[in-house]
Amino acid sequence: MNGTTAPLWAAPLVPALLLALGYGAAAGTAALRARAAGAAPSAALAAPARESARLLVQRRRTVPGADVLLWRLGGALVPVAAVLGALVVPLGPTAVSDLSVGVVWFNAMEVLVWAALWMLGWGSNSVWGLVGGYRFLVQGLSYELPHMFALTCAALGAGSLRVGDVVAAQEQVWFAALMPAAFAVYLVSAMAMAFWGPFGAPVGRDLAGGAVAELSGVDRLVLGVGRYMFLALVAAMAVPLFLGGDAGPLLPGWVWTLAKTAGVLGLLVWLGHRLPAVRMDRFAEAAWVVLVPVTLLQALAVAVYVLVR
Amino acid sequence: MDVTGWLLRRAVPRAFVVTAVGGTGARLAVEAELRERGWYEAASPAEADMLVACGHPCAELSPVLDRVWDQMPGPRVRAAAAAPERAAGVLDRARAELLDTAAQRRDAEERDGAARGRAREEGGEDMPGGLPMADRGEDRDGLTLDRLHVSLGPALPAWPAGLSLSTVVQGDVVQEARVRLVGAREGGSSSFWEGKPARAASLDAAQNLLAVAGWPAAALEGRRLRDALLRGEDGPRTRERLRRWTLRVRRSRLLRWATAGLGEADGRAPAGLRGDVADRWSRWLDPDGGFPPYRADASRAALDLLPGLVIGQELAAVRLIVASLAPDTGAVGAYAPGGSA
Repeated sequence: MNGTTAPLWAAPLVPALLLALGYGAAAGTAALRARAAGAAPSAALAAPARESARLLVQRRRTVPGADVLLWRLGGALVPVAAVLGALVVPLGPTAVSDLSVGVVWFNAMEVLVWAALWMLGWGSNSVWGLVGGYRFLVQGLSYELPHMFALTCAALGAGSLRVGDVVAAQEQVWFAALMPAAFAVYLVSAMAMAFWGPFGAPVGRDLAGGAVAELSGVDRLVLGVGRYMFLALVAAMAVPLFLGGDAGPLLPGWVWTLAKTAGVLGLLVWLGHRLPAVRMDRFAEAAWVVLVPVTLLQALAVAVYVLVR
Repeated sequence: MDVTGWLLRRAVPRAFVVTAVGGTGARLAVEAELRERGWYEAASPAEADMLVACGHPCAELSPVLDRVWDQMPGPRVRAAAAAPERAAGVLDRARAELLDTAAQRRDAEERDGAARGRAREEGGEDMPGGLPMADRGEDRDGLTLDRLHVSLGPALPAWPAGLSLSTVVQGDVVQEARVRLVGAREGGSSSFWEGKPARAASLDAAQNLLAVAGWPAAALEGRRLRDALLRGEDGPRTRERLRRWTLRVRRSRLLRWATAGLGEADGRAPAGLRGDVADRWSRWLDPDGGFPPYRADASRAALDLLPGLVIGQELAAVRLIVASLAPDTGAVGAYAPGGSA
């Protein structure tokens, strides 16, 4: 059974849902922060809106010698990549576009963030930005291969690159149970591609904000919103790839999709709160020596399973 | 309807905090105020709307503050918390000034006018932005790369007060480093921490390192515990929270993995500085009191060690090494570090 394609009017729903989920992630982060600081967590619900208000009033900056085109474009690219990537993610049984190469499409949109962060860092003509950009490239080189092999495992299990087929293949058993290593690697790389939590070094405080060090006002707002939308996207994509998509008892499929997405998103937010940053030179080594072989072995195991099934 | 004013009133301020040598007390008060109000600390001037100078900025630090001020986009406000007990009032006034839309508009117009004037004068520049290009040199792998002259501090978050580390950087690797103190005081060399609970001093160093290590939540909780100890709260609840926090940080494999093997100081260094970054922060969290990293001799030794330890390291490692040496610049007095390389 393939997933169905939604009518065109449903397309605006995609950014709206990503925004809502992203807002939830930002509010959750603010609540955890408030608890750690000993302040009342109740104010956290409005915290992202208040920060947005601040950035809307704040003036945009000009930096001497900046490559303004790349710099402004870099920030705007992140939310665009998030929305484009979400076009293939089904809500219930329906995606805006159930492409025959949906998994590859998602992968391609996610790689846009590489370009975005590098353009941001390079364009700002600042040491902090430049080093932040370098860090993200190292991060990308480290997580991308394990991430692609994890995606390959899911596609291999379904025998198709169509996201709808991947969901259909999990009717008996979810891929999270069938290929746990691939699922774990997906979660790690999901945080890395959203430069989130332990993988936040490219925009780290030790670099005065790294790739975003020189951003202010609406430019910073667009990037910040885009980052949370992207986090929501990678959480949402885990559902059709590994968590059985819209499968679940009693409730309608779209409720299950949203509930599972919120669950994964909550896990990512909590991990971001509980873990310190990973140093990129060390992670690069671990990614190539441990994660790549692990995902390759996982792919081998899935291939054997598919053959004997 | 005044939309700008309406939005501004809803905004939560974000302060860029710069500490002068000897301003530790004011810094702690400002940090506690910010934390309790739920305000944020900015990582760079670009995202800040409030510049808070802690302690008494010397003649050398003032131009640095001016440059930070110029980099702030606006609406913006500048505040000086000279003494700890004034922190709350200073922040209240700063917030009120931030909400004065008429004054903020005037400030913005003046800056725009000045910028236009400068642009007319400069016309016909041949370098991008009128800036000199970077020179080049061989890096550690024998590749010819741009050499950038970067000064770390004294206006940098989670950084020792008044410390300026002048570096030559290729890519993100430090090739040369020189230490200088901005505003080192003649004679008066008293550490803020003398007579305070040693545990609070260790917690301050630890929260600083955690902030640099990219663990803001643990850093924030460390600050909260530090402030509680400084206020003299030592009840069973504080002790239990401190125990759980210490356990969580000590058990963090990721933190140990990120900091082990960095900045190794050999046996000639004072006992409190020996070992790598992970050894040093572990000692602070030791339940037997930890080693208070604020004595004058240890701080001087830390400043002397610094250049040798950071050369050949990339910036993330440099930040961790500096945070783990945690020199108390208020304790060293008028001291010109001799170690340069």
